[in-house]
Amino acid sequence: MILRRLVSRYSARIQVAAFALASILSMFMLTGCDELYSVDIRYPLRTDWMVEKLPTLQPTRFNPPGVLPLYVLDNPDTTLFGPDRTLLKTEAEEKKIIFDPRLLGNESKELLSQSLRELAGRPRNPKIDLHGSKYDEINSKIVSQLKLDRKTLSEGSKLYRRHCLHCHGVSGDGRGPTGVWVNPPPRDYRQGVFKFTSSSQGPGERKPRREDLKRVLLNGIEGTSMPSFHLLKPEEIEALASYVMHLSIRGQVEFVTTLDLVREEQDRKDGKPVEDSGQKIYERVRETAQTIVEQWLKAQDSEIKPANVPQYKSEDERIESAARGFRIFSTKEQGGCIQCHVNVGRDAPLYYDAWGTVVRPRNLYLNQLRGGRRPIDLYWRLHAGINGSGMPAVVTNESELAQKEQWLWDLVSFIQLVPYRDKRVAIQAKLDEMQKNLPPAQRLKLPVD
Amino acid sequence: MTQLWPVALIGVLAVAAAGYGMYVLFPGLVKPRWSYFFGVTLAIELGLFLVAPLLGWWLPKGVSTYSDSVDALFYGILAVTGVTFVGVSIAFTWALFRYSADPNRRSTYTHGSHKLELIWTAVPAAVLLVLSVVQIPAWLKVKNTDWLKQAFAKGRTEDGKRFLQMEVVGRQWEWRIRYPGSKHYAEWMEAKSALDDVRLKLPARPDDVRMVNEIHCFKGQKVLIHLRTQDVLHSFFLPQMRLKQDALPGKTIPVWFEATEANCHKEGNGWKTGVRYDADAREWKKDDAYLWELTCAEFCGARHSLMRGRVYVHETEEDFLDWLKAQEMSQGAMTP
Repeated sequence: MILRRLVSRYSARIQVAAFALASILSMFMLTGCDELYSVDIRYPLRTDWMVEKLPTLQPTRFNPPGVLPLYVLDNPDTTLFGPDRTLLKTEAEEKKIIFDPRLLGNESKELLSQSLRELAGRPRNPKIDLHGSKYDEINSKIVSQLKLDRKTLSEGSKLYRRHCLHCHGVSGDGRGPTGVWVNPPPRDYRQGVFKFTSSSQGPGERKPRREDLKRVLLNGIEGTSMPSFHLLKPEEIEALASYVMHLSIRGQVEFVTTLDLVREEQDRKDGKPVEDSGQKIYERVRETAQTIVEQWLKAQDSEIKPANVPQYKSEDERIESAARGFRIFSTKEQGGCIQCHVNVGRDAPLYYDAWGTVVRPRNLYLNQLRGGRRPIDLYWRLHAGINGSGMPAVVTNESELAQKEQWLWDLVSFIQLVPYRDKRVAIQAKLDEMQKNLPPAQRLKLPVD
Repeated sequence: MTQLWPVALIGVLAVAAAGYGMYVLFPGLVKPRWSYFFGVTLAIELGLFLVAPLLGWWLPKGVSTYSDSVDALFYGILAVTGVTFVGVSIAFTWALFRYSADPNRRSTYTHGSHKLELIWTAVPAAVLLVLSVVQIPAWLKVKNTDWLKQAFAKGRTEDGKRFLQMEVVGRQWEWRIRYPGSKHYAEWMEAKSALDDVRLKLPARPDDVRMVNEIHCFKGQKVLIHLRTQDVLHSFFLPQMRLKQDALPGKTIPVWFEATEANCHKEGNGWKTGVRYDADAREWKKDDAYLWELTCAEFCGARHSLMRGRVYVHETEEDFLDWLKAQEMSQGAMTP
C-alpha cells in the first residue's frame, strides 16, 4: 500500500532515474572490455591425449569439422571413423605411444599445476623464471637472449588475447572456440614442436628461431587459416613471438613431466617395479625447463646456411636441374619422396602427425607451399624435414651435406616448377633426353596432366 | 579523431536526457513538449555534421583519375539530402510545437489531399530520376572497361602504353597479391603479350612476386586488377582511389584505377609510405594523409575489421621496377 503510494507520488522522478541509469549503462557498454586477462585465470592443465611417437597406422579419413584430434579415442561412436578407434586403442594400450594425462592422481596434478605456475605465471602475468641461485645464469639468458622478460610477455599476452586466443587457446593448445572448425587445425604449442624451422638441431630437440616465428606472423600461412599480421607494429610482432615461446616452453615442460608421471603410474598399475627417483615434481619441472630453454637458446644461433646457392644461367639449366630433381624425388635410394607423396602427392595417403591430427603429404601440383615459397624456405624444409608431420630430413647428419647439397637444390627447382603445366612438359622433354641410354624399365615419367 | 565517435554519441544522449529530465522535474518551468527533445537532438545532429570536416571526419584524399567525379556525385547527393533533412527537421519540430496536446482545442480530421499526395510523390521521383541520370558518367568512368575492349580490338593498348596487371585474392582475412616478375613485365611492352594475359586472367608463373596486404604501383599508370576470392564474399576497397568492388567466389573480376599522386619513396633498404613529395623543398615529407589503405568493405567474418593493407604508389616506373626487382631478389628468383 505504502509502496504504491510512493510510486505514484514519485513516478516522474523514477522515470528520470530509469532513463539516466539506461544512459549510463549504455555508456559503459560503449567503452568496451578490458584488454587484460582476469587475474584469477590460470593456464589449464593438459587433459587431452599425448602422442609420444607418431602412430604408424593409417587413418581412414580426415577429422570432421568441430572435432578435436584423437576424438575417436574418447568417443565410442564408430560410424564416422570406421576401424580407427580400435586401431588407435591398440596403439595406446599395447605399444604405449599414446598416453592419457587423465590417469594422473589428484595429488600429482595439484603439485604439477603449482610448480608450473611458479615457472610460467598466469596469463595475466606471464613469465619464465626457474627460481633459485642454481639457475641464475639461465634466467639471465632467458631475458637477454630469448627476450622473455615480464614486460614483453605481458604485452604479448594482451595482444595474444586479442588476435590469437580464439583459435590457439589460452594455453596455446590450438583448441580455442574457432580452432576446431578450421582445417588444418591451429598449431598446438604445448609440445614444443613447430613445423617450419630453420635451425640445425637434431630431430627431437629442434626449435624454431625467432625469425621463423616472426616470418609466420608477418606472412601468414598460405592454404591454412593463419592470416598475416602484417600491419602490427614491429615491437608487437616481437612481443607476440616472445609470448608464443613462453607458451611453448610452459606447454612442453608440462608435456614431458606429465608423460613421465603417467608412465610411472601405468607401470605401478601393471605391477612393474617403479624406480623411485625421489625427486619432487617441483625439481623435475625445473630441470625439464632448463633442458628445454637450452634447446631454444641453441636454436637461436644455429641457422641452416646453404654452402652454395646455385645460379642458373638460363631457363634450360633450371629445367635440367628440375629434371634431376624429379629423379631424386622418385628414387628410393636418394630422396625417395614418392613413397609418401604418391604420384607427386596427388594420390597421397593419410597419416597421423605428432599432434594426433590427420594429415596428407602435400600435393605438389597445387602450388601451395605452406612453409614459404622462397628457395631458401624449400631448402630448409628438405634439409631438416617438417617437424612433427612425419616428413623426414633429407640430410640426417652434416657429413652428408657435401654430397646431398646438389640434391636439395635440384629438388627445390623441381618443387618450384612442377605446378606449371608448360614447365612439366619441358621437364618431361628433358627427362626423355637424359634417360636415352637407360633401359626402358628404369625410365621415369612425370605425369604432365 | 575517430576516437571522438563515442564521445559525440554519449553527448547527444546526455543532452537529450537532460532535456527530458528538465521537463519532468520542473513541469512548471518547461512545458512538456516533445518538440524540445526532438528539436534539440536534431539541431545537435546538424551541428555535429557541420563540424565533422573540421574534426577530420570526412572523405580521405582522392588520388585517382576518377576520384573527382565520384566526389562530385557525393557532394551533389549530399546537397539534395542535406536540404531535405533540414526541411523535414524544421517541419517536424514546428508541427510538434504548434500542435502539442492542448485540452482546450477541438481536433479536426481531414480525409486525404489529392494535390499533396501528388506533390510528395512526384518531387522525390523527379529528384531520383535526375540523380540516376547524373550519375551515369561517373559510373561509366569507374566501371567501364571499354579501353580494354578497344585494346583487344586493336591488338594493342591505348597509345601503345602498357598497363600493370596484378592478381588480388581475398581470403579470411587477408589480401594475397601476385605480381608478374620484372622479366615478364618487360614483355608487356608488346601489346599482344599483355592482352593475352588479360584474356587468360593473368596465369601463374614460377617467377611471380607474391605479397600479402601490399599493393604497389606507380603514378600515372593504369593498374588492372584481377580480383578473386578463395572463400566468402569480400569487397576490395581502396578509399583514396574511390574504388570499391565485391569479390565473388568463383569469379575473376577485372577492376582498374590510375593513381595521380605518389606516396612512397625508398629509404635505406625499405620503402617508406605516408610521405608526400614537396616540390618546393625538393624532398619527401611525412604526411598522414598520404598513408593509403586497402580494406575489405564486406563483412566477411570475425576478423573482417583487421583485413586491411597498404597501397604504395611509386613516383616513377623505374622506382616501381626497383622495388619489383628487390622483391624478386628477396624471394630468391634463381634465374637471372
